[in-house]
Amino acid sequence: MKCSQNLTTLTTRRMNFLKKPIVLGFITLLLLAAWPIDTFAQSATGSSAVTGDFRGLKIIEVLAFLQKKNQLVFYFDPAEMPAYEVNLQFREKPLFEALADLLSGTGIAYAQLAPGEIVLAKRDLLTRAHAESLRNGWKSGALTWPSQVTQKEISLSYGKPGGSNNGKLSFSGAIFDAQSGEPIAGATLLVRGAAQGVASNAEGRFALSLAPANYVLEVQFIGYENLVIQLQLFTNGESRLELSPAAFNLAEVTIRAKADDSNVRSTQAGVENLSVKTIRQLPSLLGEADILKSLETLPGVSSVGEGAAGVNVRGGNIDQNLILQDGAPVFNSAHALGFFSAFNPDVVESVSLYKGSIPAQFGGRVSSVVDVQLRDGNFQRWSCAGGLGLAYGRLSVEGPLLRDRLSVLVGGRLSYSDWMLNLVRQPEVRRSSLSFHDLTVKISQRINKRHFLSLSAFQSGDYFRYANEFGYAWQSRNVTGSWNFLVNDKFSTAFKAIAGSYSSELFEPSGGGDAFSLRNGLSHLTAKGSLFYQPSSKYQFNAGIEWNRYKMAPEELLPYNDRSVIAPQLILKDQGDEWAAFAGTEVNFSARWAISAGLRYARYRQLGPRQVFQYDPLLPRIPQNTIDTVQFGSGDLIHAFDGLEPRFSIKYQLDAERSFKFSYNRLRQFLHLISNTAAATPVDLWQLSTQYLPPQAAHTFSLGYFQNFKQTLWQFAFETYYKKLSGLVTYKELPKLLLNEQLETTLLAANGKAYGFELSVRKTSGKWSGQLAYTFSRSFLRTDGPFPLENINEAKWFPANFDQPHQLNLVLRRQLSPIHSFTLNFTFRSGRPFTIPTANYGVGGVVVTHYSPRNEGRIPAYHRLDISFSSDKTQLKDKGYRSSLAISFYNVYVRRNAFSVFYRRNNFNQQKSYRLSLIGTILPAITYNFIF
Amino acid sequence: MQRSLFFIKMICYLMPMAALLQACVDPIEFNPRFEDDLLVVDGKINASAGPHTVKLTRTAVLGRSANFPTVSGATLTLSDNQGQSFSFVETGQGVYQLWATCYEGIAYKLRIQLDNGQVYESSPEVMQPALPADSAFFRFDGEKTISVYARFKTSDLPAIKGPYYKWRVDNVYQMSEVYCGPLDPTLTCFVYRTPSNQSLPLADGSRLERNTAYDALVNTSLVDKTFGEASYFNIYQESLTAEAFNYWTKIGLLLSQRGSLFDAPPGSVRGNIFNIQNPNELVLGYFYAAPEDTLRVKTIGSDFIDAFILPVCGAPGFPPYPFGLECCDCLRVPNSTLERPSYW
Repeated sequence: MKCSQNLTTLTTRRMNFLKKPIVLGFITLLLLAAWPIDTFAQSATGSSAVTGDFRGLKIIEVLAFLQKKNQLVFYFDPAEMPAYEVNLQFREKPLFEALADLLSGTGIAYAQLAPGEIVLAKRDLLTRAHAESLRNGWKSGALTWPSQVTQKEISLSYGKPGGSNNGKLSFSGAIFDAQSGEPIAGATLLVRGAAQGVASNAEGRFALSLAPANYVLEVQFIGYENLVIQLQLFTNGESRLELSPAAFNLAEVTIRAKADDSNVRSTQAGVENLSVKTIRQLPSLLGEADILKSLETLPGVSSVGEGAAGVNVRGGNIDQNLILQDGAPVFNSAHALGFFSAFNPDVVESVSLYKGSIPAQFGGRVSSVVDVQLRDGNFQRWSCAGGLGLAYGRLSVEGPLLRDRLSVLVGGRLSYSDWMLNLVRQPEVRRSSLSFHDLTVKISQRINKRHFLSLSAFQSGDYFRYANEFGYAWQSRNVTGSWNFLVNDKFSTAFKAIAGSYSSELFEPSGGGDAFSLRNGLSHLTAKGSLFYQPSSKYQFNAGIEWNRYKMAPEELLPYNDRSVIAPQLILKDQGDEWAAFAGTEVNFSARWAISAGLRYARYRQLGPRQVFQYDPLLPRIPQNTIDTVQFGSGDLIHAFDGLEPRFSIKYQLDAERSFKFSYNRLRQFLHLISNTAAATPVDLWQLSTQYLPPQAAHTFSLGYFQNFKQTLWQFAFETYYKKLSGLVTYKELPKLLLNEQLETTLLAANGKAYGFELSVRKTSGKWSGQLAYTFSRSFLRTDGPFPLENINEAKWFPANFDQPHQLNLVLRRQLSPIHSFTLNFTFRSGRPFTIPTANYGVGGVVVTHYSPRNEGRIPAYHRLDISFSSDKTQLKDKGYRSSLAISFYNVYVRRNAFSVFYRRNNFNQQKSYRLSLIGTILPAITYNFIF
Repeated sequence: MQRSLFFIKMICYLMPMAALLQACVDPIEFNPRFEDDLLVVDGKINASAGPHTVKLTRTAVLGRSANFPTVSGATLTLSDNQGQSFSFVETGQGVYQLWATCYEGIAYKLRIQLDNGQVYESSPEVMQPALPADSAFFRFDGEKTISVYARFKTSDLPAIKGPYYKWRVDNVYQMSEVYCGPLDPTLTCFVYRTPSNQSLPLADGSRLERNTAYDALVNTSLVDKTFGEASYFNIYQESLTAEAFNYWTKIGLLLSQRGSLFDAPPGSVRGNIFNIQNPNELVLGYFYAAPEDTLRVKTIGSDFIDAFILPVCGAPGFPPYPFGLECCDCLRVPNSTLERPSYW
């Protein structure tokens, strides 16, 4: 150790001999470059002593502690620091000895760069140049503490020890974003040293019941610095807690749930939460972050292919997903015919997918709930964010209209994809047009501590025209008003009023006398009131009522221009309302057992005015067998359906890292998407239940096992499910669905069953993170009509159009530096079923193909690899202009995935099989985002 | 218009996004199974004295040419709701013809007894009132495509559901031989052909504005040398029942399958023929009663002057070199005749 001297001493001594700074620097550089690493690493001395129990902490967390307690500054690359936990206890241990113990076996050495400045790096990298680089990185803000270890401490004191109160006390309050002032839902508040904790509700409220004592509480939420509270609780206390957004949030670069171990702890199974940042980091089509498409990386979620609107969840049809944006239903979630989704990620706070346990407050769909929550505008300062991609641009502005009281958020997207169409050779494509836009506005007001109002409005529109031959236009509008009233710490209420509409148009401008425009759509109103009561962290209760009114717009056929001889035609459609009352409770009986139970009662009424056709009950339901029509007046009750929908989940937690969960749901659906195409079209009809079209109903069962390893570094889940369904809509062969006033003659109600299992492994942090998910899923239908004409495949079970038994998704992320990352996404899934041609025949002078029973064949399997690189400085602490750049490659190995297989005659009049691949090449894309 | 409403499926196949994303249609080896061997009935009667023709065939293996196995030796009977019945005569392999006068407003039913004893019957088809055709014309796009239209006045249509139209089109072109020697007379043939573009023009009259004229696109063809001399498009306008219209609409949907995003799933189209001993047997094809009116459109070579179309055997006095044997013997061309059509 004689030859070991610390860097400062060495440099000072040399300065006595070398007066010229340049010479000094040059020699220093040479010396450092060749400095024996052991000597360098061991040359530090430290007089500070360390005392503490660090068992169960990560190295980086110990470093954070040491930095704070010893007024040191550590420079290191957080991505290099091992993620495992240490088992160390120090008592008056010299600082550098403690450091040596801490880093033992990690391959990481330390050196003192200057008094109070210590560099940590891999031994073979620990040179002066690298040390300076690390220091510069920290000083510029490019390197910062990960959010898990950046924490703030506060002390709260309520009463003094020695009082007479020996019973339970309440510590309650609400948790807010320190910058925007928005309440934070789902933040966890843990009592250190005790297996007790609570999560904040939608208003950020929490309540803990504790015995009088001193506590250390920790408040955590992903994307925020931890807050440590030294709590002295000897009387009831209430506090407003503020979490600061993490400057650079490593936790966000992995796919993980809001609370690290909520997969094990929460009572509900089959609930997935995705942060918008996670969504942004996935490689995507044309580089555009997509809320709905990103769900397809999750187990149990798939789609029939690129360009297909909607997702299929656990063997369910796309209309069986209740898609909500700030509580308002979205009836067409697609832009550009399904290549993009209609949600603007800039204004979205979070996305939750309920595919297993569905709480009682949700109803009206039998497969899943996709709950997209919009952000509130920033209550503290104005900011602007946006981005430019190949297909569209984004811009959002938010800020306080009244500081801390009233905020506004405005975000929009506008496509400019026509320039790409001009690159295509076909003249018809160059004469085509494709455009879309969406605009979201949200105004939020805090009236006082107990009242919170918000008003959000959403408008989206699409236009698509192929040359001058045909086109689509569709638009959605929603307005949501909500009022949250916090009655007291334990009791709150929420009220929502929603109005919205969806309209679509199919037009053919160039048909001469045939030129037409066909319009349809719907409008809806919703009113919902709910209450939430949480007397303790072990018990919560919610209840409410909901009313929905649906009015389907008439199908309207109009001549497109003066030359058209199309006769205007109006087909009146149905209307109805749906009432529901619900109540739910969650009880944590012990550290092991918890249940969540709910009950929903739904009643649907089909209302007039309406002309209802009556059919001969002894004959198949076809137009020729119409025997009468009955006219119902406005508001007349035509038919009603109702039923109870129990929901139940139970959790048995073996220990802190393992749990079993079981859930059962009864669900009903009174609204059906009439769509008999491989992928939904914008003009597909939404049809209410009628006497001929009963509600869809489902019994769903799921059972899951969840385990975390190394705390939550690795997460494993196995879930299996079974669904028994009735009232599913299927179709007679080649039905006429548009402009059909006797639509019921083309539809068949089928029974269904879906079952499968899902396996997933996630690594939530570290240099490498990601998820591997495998899903086995089957979905079948069977008709049971009384006549052969009213059955499909002779009333045998047949696979649904979206039945894809095997699905494998791999998302891998490599954090190259705190700013740079690389992401890989691989998808494999079985081909979807299709109906196979089996023979030819001639009739009427044409050659016609005859087909097998429905969905007897299967197209080839689908697989695809995407990669992306991103450089993201938007999370740096600077408050000025920040930007990120993402370069992505979609379909890297140029797989021509078959969207479909079909047969047609070639030029030699021979019947040949062909596949249609929608994306037949690699698609590079670049996206630039900014914020200031 | 039916084309417009029901051919929505074409959209994605043609859609710009798909083209932009390098959408492609390429052959794939996908061997379908062949299990079905079904009876196919292709029959039609009209409001005339005949001949009325019914063809009986069976389904054929996919990928082969359109020569379908014929069904001979069957006994076919046409009966009406007036108590009359008529027997067909087999005039060719699987081709059965009837010479009898059929009338509008009468319901007709076809009965088929195969030589294996199986008996089939159609559901009754009522002969609809004839729909008068007004005129027909064509449009040439100046490059390579001719479009043929049938025009009718919608003021003539009854104010009820329908009427339902279906058109068949055939084409006859003239082909003049070149001078091939003093012993070989220079003849002119008339070649009959059925456009093979697999189209089924249909229209639902109830969807049309009254008191106007409707131009129905009934055929599109590529213009080639066969249009270098005179040719006629013969357009047969049929008036269908709602059931027949529904059947042909579904056949049209099958013909337009392109495997696109918005394709309706294909399926078998059940017609109106049933095995009376085994109602679950799937019988393909349709028997229908439809009066027809005929329109004709004449083209001559100069109609296509922009496309520089020359006759098959060259302009008079300018034979192509070399020229085919059919230019010395035009009867070598399939379906050709020296008999000039009466309307020529």
